[in-house]
Amino acid sequence: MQTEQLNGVVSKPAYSPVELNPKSSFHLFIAEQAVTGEMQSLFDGCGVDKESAVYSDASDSRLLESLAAMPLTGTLYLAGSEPFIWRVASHARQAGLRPDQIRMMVPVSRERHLFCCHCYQITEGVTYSPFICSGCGLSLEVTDHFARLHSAYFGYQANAEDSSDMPEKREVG
Amino acid sequence: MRVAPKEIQSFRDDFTYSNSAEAIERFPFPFAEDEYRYSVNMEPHLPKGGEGSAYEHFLDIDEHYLSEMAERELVLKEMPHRCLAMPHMDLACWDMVERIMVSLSEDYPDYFSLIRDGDHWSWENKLLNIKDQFTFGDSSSLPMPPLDYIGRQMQGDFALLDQREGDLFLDAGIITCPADWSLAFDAGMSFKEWHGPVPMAHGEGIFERALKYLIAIPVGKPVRRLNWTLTVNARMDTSPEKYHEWGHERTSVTPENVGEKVYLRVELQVLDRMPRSNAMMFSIRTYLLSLEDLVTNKEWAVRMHRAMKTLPEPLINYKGLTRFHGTVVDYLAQFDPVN
Amino acid sequence: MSVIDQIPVRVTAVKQVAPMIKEFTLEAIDAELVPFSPGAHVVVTMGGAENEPAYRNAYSLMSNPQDKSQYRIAVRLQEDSRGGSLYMHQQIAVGDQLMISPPANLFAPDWMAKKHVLFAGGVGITPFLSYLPELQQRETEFELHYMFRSKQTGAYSAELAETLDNHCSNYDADQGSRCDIAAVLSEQPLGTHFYICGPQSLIDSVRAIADEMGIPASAVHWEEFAGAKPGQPFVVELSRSGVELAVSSDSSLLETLEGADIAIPNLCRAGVCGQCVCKVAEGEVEHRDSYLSEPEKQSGQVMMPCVSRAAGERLVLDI
Repeated sequence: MQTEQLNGVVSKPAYSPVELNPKSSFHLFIAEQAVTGEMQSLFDGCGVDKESAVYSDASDSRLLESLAAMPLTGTLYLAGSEPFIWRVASHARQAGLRPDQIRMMVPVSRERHLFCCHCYQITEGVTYSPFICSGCGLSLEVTDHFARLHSAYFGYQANAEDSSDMPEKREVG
Repeated sequence: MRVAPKEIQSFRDDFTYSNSAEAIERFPFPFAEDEYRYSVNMEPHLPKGGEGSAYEHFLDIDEHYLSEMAERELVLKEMPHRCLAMPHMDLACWDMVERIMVSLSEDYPDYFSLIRDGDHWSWENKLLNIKDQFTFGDSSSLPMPPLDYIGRQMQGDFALLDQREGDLFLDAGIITCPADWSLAFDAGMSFKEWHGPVPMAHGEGIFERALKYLIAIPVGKPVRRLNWTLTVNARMDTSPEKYHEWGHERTSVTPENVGEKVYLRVELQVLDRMPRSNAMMFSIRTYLLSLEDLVTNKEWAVRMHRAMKTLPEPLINYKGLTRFHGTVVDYLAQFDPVN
Repeated sequence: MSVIDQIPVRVTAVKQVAPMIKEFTLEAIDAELVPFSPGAHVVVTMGGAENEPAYRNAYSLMSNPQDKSQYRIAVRLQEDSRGGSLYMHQQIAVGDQLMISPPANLFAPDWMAKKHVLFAGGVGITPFLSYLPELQQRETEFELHYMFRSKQTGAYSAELAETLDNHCSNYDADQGSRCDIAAVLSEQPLGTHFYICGPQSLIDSVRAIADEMGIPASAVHWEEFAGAKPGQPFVVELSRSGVELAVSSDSSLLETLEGADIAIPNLCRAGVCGQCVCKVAEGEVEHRDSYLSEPEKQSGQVMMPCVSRAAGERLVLDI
C-alpha cells in the first residue's frame, strides 16, 4: 500500500498567515479553547462589526445558529485544533459560506483525527504512526491524505503485508 | 470473434478466474513504448480494433460478465457503503442509467433490451434474468437506488463527478474493484484532493491541465485513458477496506509462482459528460491478465519487461509493488532477447 | 449515440421576438436531440456553401432542457457583426438546414446555492430561460433581474413578468427604468449565488459592486456572449506546412484556419474553454481571452485563436 511516499500529498491542508478581509461587513471569530495570539490581534485590529466566541464542541447548536445568521458579506475566522476548524468549516459550508469566506489559523496542536479504512472508525488524538485504531484495534499507518468531509487523515493497517514488519514509530505533525 | 459470457468464476478464495485465448488476444495492453513514462494519455473514446476489441463499443461486456457481477454482489452484501450517492447527485445517477441502458441495448441486443415510451421504460437484462418496468427519473419506481441498480449490471467501477466551482467533485460511485482507493474516504473530494497521494505528477502542472481539459468536455465527446498496476492473485477487490486481508499476498510471490500469481491489472477509464446534470461519468473497467498468459504474446512480453525495468522508484512504491517488483523483472527478462 | 459529432438540424420556426432579436426553433433531421443541462450552448455552423464563407457562432440553448424534440436559440443582430448574426437574420428561414455541435456547458447553476440571483442584459436572457424550468422544479429560491432596451431587445419580458410574478423584475432603459444593482446585491442572504449574462459593461459593473461590498468572488458567475471582435488584418504563417493565410479585420484567426480546412478543437469560441489553444512560434499576440493565465500570456508562446489576434502584421503558429 502507499507508504512513506505519501508525504507531500496535496490533500494535506496548507495554512498561511491569516489577514483580515478589509471588504467584509462582519467578522466572526471562533476559537476552540481561547481567543489568543494571532486571532486576538486580528480581532483587535478589526474596526467594524465583529463578534468572537469560544466553543469546545464544533457542532454546538449556538455555533450553528451564529453561522446561519452570518451575512453574505461576512468572513469567518477559525482557530483551534485541525479537526475542530475543519468541522466548523464544514458546518459553515452547509450554512452557505463560500470557501473564500473562511480563514483558518495554523492549528494549535499536531493532534490528528485518523480514519480507519477497514472499520471506518475515527480515532482522536493521534500524534504518532503507527497508531492503534479505537474501532478495530489494528495498528494503522498514519498518512497525509486528508478528507475535509471527515476532518481526518487516512489510515491503513501498517503491517498487513508482513505481520512481523511493523514500521518504526514516528511522530506525525 | 466476440467472446460470450461464461460460467461464474471466482476472484477470491480459490481464484478460479481464467482468460480464454480470445480474452488474452483482446486484452487492452497499456504500454505503447519500451520505456515507462507517466502521461495523462487521454484520447477520444472512439471505437478501434474492430469486432471483438475491448474498444469496439462504448461499454465493454466480455466473458467475465457473470463472474464480475457475482463478485460485486458479494462485496456489496458485506459492505453496502461501497455504493453511495449524495442527494444532489440523483439526476446524474439517472443520466447514467440512461447512458448505460441505451448503449448496452444498442451494442448488445442479444443480451439487453430497452423499450422507452416517454418516461415509461422497460428494461431487460437476459444475462442476469432481470426484467423491470419503471418511470425514468423516479427513484421510487426501481427496486433499489438507480446507481446501485445499474451498477450491479455493468462490469467495472463507476464514479459520478459533480462539476462546480471550476472543479470536479467525487460525489457518487459504485466502487467494488478499486486499485487501492476508498470511496468512503474520498467521497466529496475535489479532483486535486482525491489525486492527492499520486506521486510525481503535482509539481508538473499535469493535474491543472487535465482538470481544465475535463471540465470542457461536451456531451457526446467521451475520452479514455488506460491506467495499470500489478495485482497478486486474480483479486478484483483490492480495496483499502480489505487490505488487511489481502496485503500479505504481496509477500507470497516467488520465482517459481510469479508467472501464474502476478496479474497485470489494466483500467480502461472513460470520462463522459452526462447531458441533464452536467456531471461527469467516470467508468473504470478493470482487466486482469496473468504474466504467464501475457508472455504468450512475444511483443507484449518484451515491452512489459522494458517498462517494468525502467519504472521509477516512487511509482514502484506508490503502486505497492516494492515486495515483488524485482521478481517480476527477473521473470520477464527471459522473454527479452536484449538480455 | 454515445459519440456525437455534428448534429444536422432543420429550422422549423423563426420568430421576431424583439426588434433586433430573432428566435429559431431547431429540430433534429435524423435522430432525437439529447437533453441538456441549464446554461448549455451549441455552436451553430451556417453558410459555407461554394464561394460563401462559413460562420460559426455559439448560442445558448433557451428551451426546456428536458425537451428532446427541439432546441431553441435567440440571435441578436449585432451592429458590428462579423457576419454570423447577420446571416442568421437575413439568410435563414423555415426549412433551412444547419449544423450544430453537441451541447457544452460552461455556465451551469451551482446547485449547492441557497438562492440564485440572475442578471440578464438584452439577449443575455437566453441561458436563464433554460435555468427557469429546473429552478422551479427544485423549488429553489431565485430572482431574475432583466435589463433591456425595448426599442432593440427585451424579448419575452412580458411573459416572464406574468409567469414569474415577483421573481422577475424588468428594467426597460428606453422607458427610463434602471436596475439598482447595489440595492439588489445588498439584500441577499448567506449562500446566494449570482449569475450575469449580458454585455461586458454589465458583467464588469455587477462584479465590481459585488467585490466592493465584500461578496465572495466565488459566488459570482458570468458568461460573455460576445465572441470574437473585429481587429486589424494580419498574416498568419503555419510553420509546419509553410502555409500563409490572410486574416481579415472581421474574421477571427480560428475562422480563418477553419476556412483553410485546418481543424482546431473548439467549444466556446469566446476565449473561455481553452480547447483551441495554439502554440506561437513568432510574433506579438494581442491576448483577448479569459482562459490563459497572465504568465502564459506574457510568455507569448500560446494563444487562443478564437478571440485573440496578432498585435502586429504577422504571426507564426507552430501548427
